[in-house]
Amino acid sequence: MASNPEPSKSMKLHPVGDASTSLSRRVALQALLGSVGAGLALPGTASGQHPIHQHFSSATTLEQAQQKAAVAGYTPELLDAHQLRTLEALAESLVPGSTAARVAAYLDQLIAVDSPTNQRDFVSALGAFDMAAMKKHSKAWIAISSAEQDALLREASTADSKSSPMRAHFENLKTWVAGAYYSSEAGMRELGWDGNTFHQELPGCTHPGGHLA
Amino acid sequence: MQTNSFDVIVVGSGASGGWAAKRLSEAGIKVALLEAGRPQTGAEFSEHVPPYDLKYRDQASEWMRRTRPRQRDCYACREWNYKWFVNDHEEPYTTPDNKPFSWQGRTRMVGGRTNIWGRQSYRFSDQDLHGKSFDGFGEDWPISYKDIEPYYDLVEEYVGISGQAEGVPELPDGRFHPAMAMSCAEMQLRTRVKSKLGWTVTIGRAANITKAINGRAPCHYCGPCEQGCATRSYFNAAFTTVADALQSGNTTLITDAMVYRILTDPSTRRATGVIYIDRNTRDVREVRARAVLLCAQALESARILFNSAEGGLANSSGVLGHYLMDHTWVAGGASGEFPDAPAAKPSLGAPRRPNGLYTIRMKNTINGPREKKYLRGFGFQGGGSTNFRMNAPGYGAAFKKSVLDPLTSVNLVGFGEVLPRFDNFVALDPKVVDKFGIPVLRITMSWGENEKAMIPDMAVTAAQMMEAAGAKNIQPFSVLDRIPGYGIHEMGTARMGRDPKSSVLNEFLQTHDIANLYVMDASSFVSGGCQNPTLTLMALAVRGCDHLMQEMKRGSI
Repeated sequence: MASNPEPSKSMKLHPVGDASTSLSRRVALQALLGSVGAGLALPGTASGQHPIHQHFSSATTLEQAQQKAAVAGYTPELLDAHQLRTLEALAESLVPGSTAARVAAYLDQLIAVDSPTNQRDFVSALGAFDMAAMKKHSKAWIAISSAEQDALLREASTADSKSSPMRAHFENLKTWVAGAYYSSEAGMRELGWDGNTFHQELPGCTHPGGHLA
Repeated sequence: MQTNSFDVIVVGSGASGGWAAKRLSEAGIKVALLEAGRPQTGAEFSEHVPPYDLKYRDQASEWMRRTRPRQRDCYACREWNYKWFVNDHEEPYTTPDNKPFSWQGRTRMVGGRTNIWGRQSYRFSDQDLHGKSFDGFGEDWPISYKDIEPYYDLVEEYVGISGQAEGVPELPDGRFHPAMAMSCAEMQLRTRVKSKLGWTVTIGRAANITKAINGRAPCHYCGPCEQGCATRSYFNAAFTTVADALQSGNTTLITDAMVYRILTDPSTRRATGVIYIDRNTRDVREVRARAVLLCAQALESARILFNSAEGGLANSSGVLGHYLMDHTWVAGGASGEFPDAPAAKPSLGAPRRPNGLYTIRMKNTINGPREKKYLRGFGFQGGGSTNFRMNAPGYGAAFKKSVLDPLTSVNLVGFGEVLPRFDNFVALDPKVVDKFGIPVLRITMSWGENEKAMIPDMAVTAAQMMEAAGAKNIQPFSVLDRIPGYGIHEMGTARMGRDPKSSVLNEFLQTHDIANLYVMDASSFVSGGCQNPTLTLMALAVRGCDHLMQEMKRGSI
């Protein structure tokens, strides 16, 4: 930490509402799962609050959610059938549990109402992973083995972020998938959400001296 | 046209209008309370509804922006509650091309913005009220802290503000409900900043009660107050002041009433009533009364005055609409990590504090050193948190494991005073009307040199505090190009003053020109401080109502 920071070079905040760049979406995702604290008007900050983890499920809503999840044969609004299957395969690799949480269907529905730029970037990312599989194995992504998929994902996830378009596609898809997964009931429960929204106490620091030294 | 008569018309049922209706009607005065939006019954409250029960889980910003492109700028406008906000296309406003302004938080519900407000509640001190005496800029308020103090006490007692007394003159203490707890990292920041820099970091003073009052239960820490509260634990005018006013039997609430203009009698120079348009039927109706109180929010009240007479009603001074202020919001600050501070594992099942930290203004204070580059000062809001590591690298099972690795950090984000300048103003747009046909506002506002000089110092100062606290990975930031409006603290459009030539209102919020016309929202503010304005505007509204009742008793109104 320099003692004389240069604000002009420092990070900029992006409002949660601004979904026009993948950066802002990542920031939004952080805000989405931020924890206790900044209960003020602070979207976009790392600890900004998001309603996503402020909710509980009644027995009724749980049942509804399970019914929704049980609906088979989703008809995509944005993607074609091949893209949807590709997304499903990629989502499961990026964040295991995504298939059961119906991440692909949710994302199709969500991105169908997003901006043309975000739609293009998303569709482009799916195409890029298909092309990576074709270049290496002459097959589409869903036709190569899990081990082959993993090798390509590893390569994309560690490529230089400045020069590799695959790294950008990886980060873009991962952000979408993680956001979808961790806002699903399964994902939220994995993060400790238990349905209780009535808390008697708010725990805080009880150390004498308040960590002065 | 249907005509009804009352003693007093109150336009707007939010923070100030709710108080006006309560104060007057409990004293036996017949009040017509006009609200532009629909009733708030609580049936739409959704603070306990899980995101996956929403079609888009509040992630489809573009979709929401189809109808609420500006309202969505605000963190509080969500898929759960967006229907409480105006459709920006139906009720627009305009700006010059090179001076964008984000007019947010435009609710159309009984309770107004108190449905969705941030609840931070701070008193202004004499330093804030008498800035001109201190540094020569602008005007002093025509009142002192001691004039407002009893009204702060009265309002706080009823609203219920949790917080901690600090004995710091820049931020007068109130009568607080027990303070919400601070985390270990936050305490570390508080104790070390006090010890090394002498500045005060305290728990936010929030209109969230922590003990039961008036049939309202203490906060249950579910989190998203902006979506409503089943236990009425945060202050919402709809379930407090407005409910009391209705309970008195002396208030008639008229919803869906878009007040278009104030009626006046030129021979007596008095207001005689208002005309409104029913949002649903488009019926035009007239209400008459002995006095009219505008509590419609600083921009909407100015709009009504401009629509009521050529050049603006009660505008002999020519300053109506001018000296518009906001706060520079999250304009500069810093984050820092506290890896060594004890913290519970993050969990979505944990209680959520609907409140953060507050750092009391430390620059250009009466007893402190003066800054060379700018006047006035700023406070920090923000707070600490122990988060999941959502930006963990990699993918698959390893990514999911890394997500669970806790990260404890604290954010400090600056809210800065914006100087009142004549060239920040609103006027009617001669070409644009809303869907009711009512001329809309054209807002002209930009940051001045003072704001631009202050914002970078927020980053430097916050980083300094983080260093003092022993934080790691300190990340200062500043945002010079955020457009005005994000503070959602519009103030100053009908400022008060002793001189009718340079102000619209007197110290009791009564217009200089028309004795039975008052403006009781933040329009009256002469300067903006760096504190959230709602507590102060509520106190001033009650003070103004007491003045009005004296005048009515005297027979002058």
